Amino acid sequence: MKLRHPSKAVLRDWLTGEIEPDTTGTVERHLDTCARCAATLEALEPAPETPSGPDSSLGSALAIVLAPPGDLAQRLEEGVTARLSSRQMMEVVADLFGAGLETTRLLLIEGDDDDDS
Amino acid sequence: MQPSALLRLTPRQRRGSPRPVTVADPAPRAPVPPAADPAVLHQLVVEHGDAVYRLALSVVRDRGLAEDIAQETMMKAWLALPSLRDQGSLRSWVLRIANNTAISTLRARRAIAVDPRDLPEAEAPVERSVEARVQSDAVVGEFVAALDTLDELSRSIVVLREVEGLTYDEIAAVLNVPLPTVKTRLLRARRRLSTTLKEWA
Repeated sequence: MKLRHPSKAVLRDWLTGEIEPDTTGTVERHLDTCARCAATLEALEPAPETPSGPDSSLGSALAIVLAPPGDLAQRLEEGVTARLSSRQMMEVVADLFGAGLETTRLLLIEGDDDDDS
Repeated sequence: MQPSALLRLTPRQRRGSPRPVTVADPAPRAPVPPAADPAVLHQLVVEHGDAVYRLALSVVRDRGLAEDIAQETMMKAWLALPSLRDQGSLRSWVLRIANNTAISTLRARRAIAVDPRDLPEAEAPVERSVEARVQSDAVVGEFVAALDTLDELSRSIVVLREVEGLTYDEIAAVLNVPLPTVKTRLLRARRRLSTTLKEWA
């Protein structure tokens, strides 16, 4: 059965969040592919009161609440380097025993557990 | 108003804590290139680390997990970079890896967590130094609460548009969703978030 276009009232409710949870999924699946309803929605909603983009108040507010740690770059570099060192070591072991990388990883992890117990 | 999840998040400093469950890995399974250039990794991290982290945090809402995802993303990007033909699309490519990694992580977590309350949540108050500089707790809390009412796809879309400045087409490509989805989710996200922004002025 072909999905019918949601009414303007339903689209308005979806915008404001005043919509039944069961209906939300149906409306969103329709909006995902229906350019006509997307246009209807845009016509319903007046131009945003705040400008758009990174320099807007909305962009600034989002950047504040999602702010990364100050030393993120250094931590990422160190973390990636450590991960790769571990992976390279496993590749050497895997090569020695002729096992696959994932098999070696599982064996090494299992061995650690045995040591701990 | 309930304290929002995002506000209570802090960087995880649990060294040795378990890594997120295995995620889809677009990086090649080939051995690590011995000649991988640390300078390239440095440049990747400096130029795209923050954006990757913000996108990951908008999806998973957990700062520790977001950092893990950022790290995984950088490793995949660094290893796979030689296979990237169009260097002009580097930013979109890195963000696409980040989004895929974040979604996979979230799905894996959800598959394990029977109780929704077991999903990634906040652990302690957000860094006060950042927050206090700008606005009161209540005002910021209202904004973050509004952000939390959005689904992760809508949060990703609004962050990519309003913070990273991507075009609609770029967002659709990064998140692998149709253009109408980008437009409609953005419209709704702006509407909900902007109502709380009046207090920020």
